[in-house]
Amino acid sequence: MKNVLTTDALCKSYGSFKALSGLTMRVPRGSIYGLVGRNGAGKTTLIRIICGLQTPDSGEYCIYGEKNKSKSIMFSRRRMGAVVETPSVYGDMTAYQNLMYQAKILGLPSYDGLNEILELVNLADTGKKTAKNFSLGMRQRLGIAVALVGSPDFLVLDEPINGLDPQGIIEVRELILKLNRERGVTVLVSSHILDELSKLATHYGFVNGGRIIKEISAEELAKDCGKCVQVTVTDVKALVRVLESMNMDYAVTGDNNANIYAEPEFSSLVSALAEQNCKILKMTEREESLESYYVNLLGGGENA
Amino acid sequence: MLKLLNASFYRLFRNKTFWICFGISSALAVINTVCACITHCVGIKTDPVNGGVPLEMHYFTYHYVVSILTAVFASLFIGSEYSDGTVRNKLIVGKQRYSVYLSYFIVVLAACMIMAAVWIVVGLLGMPVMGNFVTGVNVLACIGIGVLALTALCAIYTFIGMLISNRAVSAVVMLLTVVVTVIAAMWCFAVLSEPPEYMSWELVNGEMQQICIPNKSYPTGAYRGFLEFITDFLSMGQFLAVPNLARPINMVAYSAVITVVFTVSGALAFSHKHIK
Repeated sequence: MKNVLTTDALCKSYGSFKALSGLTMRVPRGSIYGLVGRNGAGKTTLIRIICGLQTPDSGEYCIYGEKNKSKSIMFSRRRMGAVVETPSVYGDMTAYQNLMYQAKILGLPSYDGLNEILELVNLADTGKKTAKNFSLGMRQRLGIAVALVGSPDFLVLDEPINGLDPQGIIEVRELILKLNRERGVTVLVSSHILDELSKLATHYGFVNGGRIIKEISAEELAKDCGKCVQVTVTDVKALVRVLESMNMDYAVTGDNNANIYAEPEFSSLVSALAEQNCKILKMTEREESLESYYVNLLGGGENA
Repeated sequence: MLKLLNASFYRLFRNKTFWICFGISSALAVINTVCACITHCVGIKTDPVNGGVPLEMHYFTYHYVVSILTAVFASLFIGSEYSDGTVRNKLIVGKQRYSVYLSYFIVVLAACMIMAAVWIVVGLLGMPVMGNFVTGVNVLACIGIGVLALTALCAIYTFIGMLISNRAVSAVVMLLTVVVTVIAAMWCFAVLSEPPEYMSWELVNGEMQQICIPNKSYPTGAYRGFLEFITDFLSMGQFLAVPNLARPINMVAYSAVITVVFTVSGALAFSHKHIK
């Protein structure tokens, strides 16, 4: 199965306000899908719908191949975990009790893995402290821990770093990366903090006005953003010969300058240039930021 | 469903509100029994033949206390599911909405029955002092009707708690429901308790004679039927009528209807509710 989640022309209105207007998207298996959009774009509405908290007015979605109107979707949901807007934890229970409660809902045969989950989110030392006495970052991590009970394959996180301090942001980011790389968990994370998403996502979906404006992988985005290494050398012809021999994309931009559209192994490049009596005078990495890409994208969309 | 109940009972027995309500119910049960015993003993000393307090006079007073405590508990227990957002955790992992609704109803009912059971058991501790039930009332039938009436109330509380997301608003609505139905039931019961006629004195041929005068406030016909229906229909009215057991079949039927109607309609409404 290539895609964990697919949506097809989802529409949702609240009174006269159209939150979703034909939203179509694909979340590939094993990816970290970053849902990017400004406030009111429809990110949270989409997440509520795919989590079964609300029903769409029209359109459909599939989770692990099961359509939303199918009775079997409950089995697909069993493979999901989600944190929607705010962490859903009982304030009068400890971290372990919250996980135990979720484990009982899922009917897990054993509670052995719960301590491991707490260690994963750095809440193993909370002891008898109840969740209402946790900091925001701790509550956020506990919410993710609850979502991880039952070892879901698909994790949905709605703005998980909202309100977190820098340390908390780093911890959540590391956790998501670890889950994706070590356990193969597919993650759908929504955020309007582009800088953080750019460090996480393997795929992006740009949402505006209740629709997906563009879906793109991180690699394609890197190309579109013009990510390159700018070099200034003493002999640009020697540089061209070396880059041709290394099969790298490049563009000569001046008498001594060129852009390399690849990630060269610098020590090999320097050695090869040295053999050609060519010195590197300057080397800088340059890319269009995700923020400027997003602004340009939305600007194009609004003017279309 | 069993998994949901397992989880809900796990939470119930760790819930501070439940234990506070249980403690209040237990304390009031003990106080009520002790006071009844004291009243009985004082009465016996004053009038050894007729001064005693029958056991049934105090035994069936638990309904009002338990119904109010259950309203408080249900509003906070269910309300925190919305305020903490934890109702989402059940829906996200694929639990069906009617199962979630029923699990809450069963837990609220269980909490109510536990509080009532304490009162029923503690009330019997007065038997060595006050003796057995003397009026020949069918105690089991009274307890059964009281339990069914409490079940109907739990169905109403679950309906309110599950459909009103705001914990404070649902608490106010539940308590208002209790207050309004208590007032309505007591008023109907008071009117129904009016005697058909009352004795008065009249001077006839120079002598004072006792005569019967029809009571204009005595309800008759359709009006009486309506008042009896309200008394039997409302759980609070059933609590008042329980020691007399005037129309037990009606009471059982109405409690069953209320329970089914509120549970089914509540589950249906919850299945379409937008959860944030």
